[in-house]
Amino acid sequence: MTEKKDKEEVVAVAAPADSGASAPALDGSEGYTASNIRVLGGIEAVRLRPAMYIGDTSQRGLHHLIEEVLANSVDEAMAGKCKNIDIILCADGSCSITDDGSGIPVDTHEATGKSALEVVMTILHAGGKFDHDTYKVSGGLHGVGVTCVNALSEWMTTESRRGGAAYFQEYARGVPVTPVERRGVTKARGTRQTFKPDAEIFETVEFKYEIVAARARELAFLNSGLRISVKDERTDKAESFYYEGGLAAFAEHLNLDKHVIHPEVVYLQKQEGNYQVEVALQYNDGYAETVLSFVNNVNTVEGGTHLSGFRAALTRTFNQYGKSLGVLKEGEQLTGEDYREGLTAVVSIKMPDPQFEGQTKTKLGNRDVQGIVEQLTNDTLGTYCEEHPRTAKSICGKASEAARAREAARKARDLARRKGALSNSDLPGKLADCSSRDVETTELFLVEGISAGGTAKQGRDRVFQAILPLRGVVINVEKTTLDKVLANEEIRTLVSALGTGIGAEEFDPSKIRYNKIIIMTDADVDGAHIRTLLLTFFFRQTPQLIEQGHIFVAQPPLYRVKRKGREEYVYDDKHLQQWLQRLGVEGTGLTIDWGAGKTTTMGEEDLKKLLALCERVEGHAAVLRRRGVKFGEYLRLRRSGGGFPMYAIRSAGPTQYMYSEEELRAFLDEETRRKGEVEIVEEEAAKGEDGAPKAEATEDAALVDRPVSVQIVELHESREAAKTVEMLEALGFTVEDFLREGEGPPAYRLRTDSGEEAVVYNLGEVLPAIRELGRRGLEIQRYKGLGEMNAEELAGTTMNPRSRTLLKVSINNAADADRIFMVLAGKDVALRRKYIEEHALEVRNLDV
Amino acid sequence: MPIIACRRCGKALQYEQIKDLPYFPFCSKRCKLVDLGKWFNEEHRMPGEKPAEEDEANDGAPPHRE
Repeated sequence: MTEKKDKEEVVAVAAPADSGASAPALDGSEGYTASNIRVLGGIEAVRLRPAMYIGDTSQRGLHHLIEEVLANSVDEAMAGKCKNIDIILCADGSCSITDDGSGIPVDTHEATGKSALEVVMTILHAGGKFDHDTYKVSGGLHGVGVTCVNALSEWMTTESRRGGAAYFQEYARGVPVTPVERRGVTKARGTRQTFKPDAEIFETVEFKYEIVAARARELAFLNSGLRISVKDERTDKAESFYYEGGLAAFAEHLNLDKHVIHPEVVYLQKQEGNYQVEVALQYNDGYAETVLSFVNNVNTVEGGTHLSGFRAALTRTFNQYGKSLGVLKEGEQLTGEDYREGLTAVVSIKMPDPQFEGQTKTKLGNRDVQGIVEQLTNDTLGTYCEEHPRTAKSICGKASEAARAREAARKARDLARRKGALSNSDLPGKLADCSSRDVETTELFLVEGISAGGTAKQGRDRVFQAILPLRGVVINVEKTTLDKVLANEEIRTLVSALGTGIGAEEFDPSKIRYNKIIIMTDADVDGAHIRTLLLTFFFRQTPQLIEQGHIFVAQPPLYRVKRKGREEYVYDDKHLQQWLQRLGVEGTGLTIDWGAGKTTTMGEEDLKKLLALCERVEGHAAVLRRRGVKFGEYLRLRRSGGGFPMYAIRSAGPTQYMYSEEELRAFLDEETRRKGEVEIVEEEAAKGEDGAPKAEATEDAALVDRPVSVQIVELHESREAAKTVEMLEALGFTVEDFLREGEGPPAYRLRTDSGEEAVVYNLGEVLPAIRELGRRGLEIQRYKGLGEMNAEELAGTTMNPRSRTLLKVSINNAADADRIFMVLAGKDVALRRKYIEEHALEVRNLDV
Repeated sequence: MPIIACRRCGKALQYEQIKDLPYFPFCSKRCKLVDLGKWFNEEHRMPGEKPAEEDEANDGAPPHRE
C-alpha cells in the first residue's frame, strides 16, 4: 500500500529531471514529518522483503544492484546524454559506477522540499523515468531504481556533477547521514554512485568480475558508441567495451568460435513511432539456436511478444523469398523450427511502458508489440533478401536441409514404431522368412528381381535362409536415361527385415535379425547397379553392419562348362582362363620351327614352364595397358643392359621414358630450367582400362590446358618384367619372339595326343592357342542372370553353404561402391561418361 | 590416419576407426539424416545410360584381371 501511494504522489509531482531552473519553495500543505515517515516506510519495506524488489538475495540479486544503477546511466546514453560509463569493483567490496551524463538534479523538489537528488536516492519510484517526455524509453528491470540499491547497501554515496559544481550526499542503509553538500567546482558532468552491499541482507556480498564484465559487454553491444569500462581493484583485471557495430558485432561475437554459413551478419533496423526495432542475425552450421532478446536493454530471458513477432517474420519472409527464387520447392513449407537451427540472433527493441511477465519478470507481455515487430522485420528482412540474394539463399538452403533431416528422422521413427509391433507374422509381405530365430546361423538373401526371388525361395533351406526379392525401380528421366533407384517401399522393407531400425537414433546394429545379409544380383550392368546401390546404402546408413562382418555378396557362377557329359561351374574369368589352359596343355607338345631345318621340341613339362612365363608376360601387358603403355612399344624400350623404363613422362609431344630416379630428376631439372615452373599432374589416365587412346587424350589435354604440365607415370612393373625376360632368355627366347608379325619363321606348332594341331608365329600367341585347344570339345554357357538357373542349380552353386563362395564385404569394398555411385550419380556428366567407359567392367566385378 | 570426405557436405573427416566418427561416413547427424531422406525419397539414383552401346561393351570380351 505504502509503496503504491508513494508512487502516485511522486509521479504526480516529479521534478523535470533535466530542468536546470530552481524549483519553487516547499509547499506548506505537505508536512516534513509525514513525508519523512513515508520515505522511511518505503526503505524499510525494501529491507524487509528485498526479494520483492530485486528478485532474491543470492548472487543474482547482489549483481542486480549494479544492474539498477547501471540502468540509469544507460538510459542517459539512450537519450544521447552519456558516452562513457566506468564500473569499479573496489578493494573494500563496494562498487562505484560513474557516467558522464547529465547528473542528477539538485534543485529543491516541490513536494518534499528536499533536494531532487535526495528524493531520487531515498524515495521509491522517484526519478525522471516516469516522465515519458524526458526519457522516451528506459530500462531498469523492476523500475524501482537506485533507491532500492541505497536501501540494501551498508553505505552509499552519490555525487552529481552538473552546472559547474559537484554535489555529494552519503547514506547508511538508505537513510541520509549528511545533507546534500556542494563540493567545489568542476567542469565535468555526470553521476557517480558508490555503494557497499549490506551483508545483513545478502547471502554473499562478493561481486564477480565475470558477471559484471559480461553484462557490461552486453550493454555496450546494445548501445552502439557507448563505452563501458570495468575495473576490478581486487585483482587489477580491467576491460573496456565499445562497439561501433552494435548488434551486428554482438551477433558476430556470439558466433565467434562457430563456423558461419554466410560471412556477413544480417542487420536490420527500423523505427516506427516510439518503437525502435533492431535485429542482427547470422547462421552457423550447428544445430543449436542462440537468440537473445532485449527490451530497453533488459535481457528478456523468457522472450515474449517481441520475440514471437521476430520468429513469425523470419519464417514468413524466408519461406516467401526461398520460393520466389526456387531454392525451396513448390509445396515445401518450412516451419519456424527449421529456421531455428544454427540461428544466432539478437533482437533488441526500445519502447515505452514495457510490461514484464513470467517467473523472473523477464518476458515481455505487451500484446501490440508482436504485430509491430513482425511488420518491421518483414519489411526490412524482405528488402535485405533482395539486396543480398546469396546470403538469403544460404539461409533458405540450410533451413531446407533441416526440414529434410527432420522429415527423414520422422520416417525412421515411423519405421521403428512399425518394427516395434513386428512379430514373425507381421513382417513385410515380400519377405520369405526362415523358421529359425537363432540369429547366429540365419541368413537373409537380397535377391535381384522377382523371378530370381522365386527361384531362390524354391532353392533355399527354409530353416535358416530368408529371401527378400528386390528390384531396382527404373525411373524415366527426361525420356533420355532410365535411372535406377531402390524404391522407397524397398528401403522400408529392407530396414524392417533387418530389424535394426535406421537413422540417427533408431539404428541399433545389435538388433539385426540375421547373421549374414547376402546380396545376390545378376552378373550384368543392372545387377551391378543394384549391388552398388545396396552397398552404398549399407556403407552410408549402416556401416556398423559392414564392420561387424554381416554383409556379403553372393558369387553366382559366370559359366557352366560341359565336358564329356560332366558339368562344372566357373565363377570368374580368371578361373576360366586357367581352366582352359590346364585342359589345353594336357598331353600337348610344342615344336618350334626356327627355319632352315632347325627345330626345338618341348614336351608337356617344358611347355608348362614356358607357358608360366608367357602368363607372366600377359600379366605385365595387362598392367602396362592400364597405365597407358602399349606393350609392343614397351618391349622395344628395353636397354641392352636388360632394364625397362621406370617412368613414362607425358607432356606436350611424344611420351618420354626414364630408366632411373636420377634420369627423371635430371629431366625435370632441365625442363624447369627451360620452361620455368613445371606442374606435375595426377596420373588419372593411369587407372584406365585401355591405355593407348587415353594417353593421347591426355597429351591433347596437356597441349590445350597446361602447356608446361607433365604427368609422371611410374612403371612399377618394370623390375618384374626384366626378370621375366631374363628367364625367357635362359630358355633361349628373346624379346623379339613377342614382336614378330606375319608368318614365321619361327613357327610354333602345338600338337595334342589326340592329334589336334595349332600353328602360331608369335610367342605371345602360344598361350591363347593352348586355351583354344582346351576349349575344344567343351560346351561353355555364360550366365547373364540368376534367372537362367533353376532352383537346384542356384542352390548348389550360390546358396548352399557347403558348395558356395561368399565374399565378405569390407568397409573398403563398400567405400569403393560408394565412390562409384558418387561418380555415376554425380552432376559431372563428362566425368561420369569417362568413368562408365573406363570402368564398366570393374563396376561389374568390383568386389571380387 | 585415414581421411574421408563427408558424403553429404564434403567436409574432411579424420578417423582412426569408424567408431571414432559417430555418423561415419558423415560429419554429422544432419548430413546422415539428409542422406537417409534421399533414400526414402528415391533421390539416390544410378543413372541409366542408353542401353545399346553400353551393353555391347560390357558383354563382349571377358574382363581383364590381375
